[in-house]
Amino acid sequence: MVKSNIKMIQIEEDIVLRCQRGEKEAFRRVVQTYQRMVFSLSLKMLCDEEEAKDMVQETFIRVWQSMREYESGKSLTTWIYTIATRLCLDRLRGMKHTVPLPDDERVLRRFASDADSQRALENKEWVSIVRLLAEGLGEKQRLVFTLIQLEGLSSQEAEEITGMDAKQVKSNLYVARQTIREQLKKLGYDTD
Amino acid sequence: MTQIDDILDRLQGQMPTLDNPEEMVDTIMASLPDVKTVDIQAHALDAQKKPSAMLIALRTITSAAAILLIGLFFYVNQPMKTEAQNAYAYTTDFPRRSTLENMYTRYTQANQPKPISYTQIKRMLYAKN
Repeated sequence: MVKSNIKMIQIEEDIVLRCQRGEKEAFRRVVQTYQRMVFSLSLKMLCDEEEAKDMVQETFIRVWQSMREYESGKSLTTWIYTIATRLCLDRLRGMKHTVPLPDDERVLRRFASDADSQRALENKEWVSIVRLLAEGLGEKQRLVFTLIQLEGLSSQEAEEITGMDAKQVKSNLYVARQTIREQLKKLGYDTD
Repeated sequence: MTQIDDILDRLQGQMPTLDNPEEMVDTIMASLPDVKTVDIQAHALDAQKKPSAMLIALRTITSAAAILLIGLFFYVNQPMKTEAQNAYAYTTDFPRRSTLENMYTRYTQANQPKPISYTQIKRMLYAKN
């Protein structure tokens, strides 16, 4: 159920061909289908809602400009994720390093103790939680953690998106998880 | 399952919400460049990637000519080699050139009395004695 939101979203090949011919109305369908996915990734990477919205726009402009380079045999989802990821990393490098705020810990505790596990997090809660969890993670660790742990992608998909091999993905994910576990332990969450 | 695993699993199960998705779609669609602009950009990129054969040939010729010129410059300006001087023979270190002046100078220098070495002086003294 959960991963169906994030799993490969199939879009008709016809739509893709029409986009490659320059039909904007066909591209509207692509934007409608993938914008939430790109927003989710951007928000978790950049920890800023306005930056994430800008990133969505920038990503789709780049997708539109690069449509001719897309090879129809490959997954469109992975391709769009790859473009979004690279743009997010570039933006992240230009942004000032953000440190967790005192309120971020309160948000996490509220989330952890919330009996209603189905309650949807608000975007500002997402920002607080990810900012707290991502503290201390390197760029590649943060990327792999976001793609696999938060976005629910498989290791193979993460490899295709990031360009890393299986060993690098596994290693970065392991280090990321260990770092986050240590942080949460310090905050009083148990690991046993 | 630990608390930490529970937190991470619950996070995976959720996606952030986008306010006004249709408005965002409209904004994105309005900011897309036109097809013609895309074509021009694509064509410009293609042209940049593949220079014409004429341009490649011209670049090769000018590069080769530049290398030849630099080599010629160094060849013309290299210092002339001089003969190593022997301690017992007086020779000029004047550069060898085929000018009359230099030929005369070499001739006069060659006919100048040669300095006598210490060994020769000793030989002369012992010979006398």
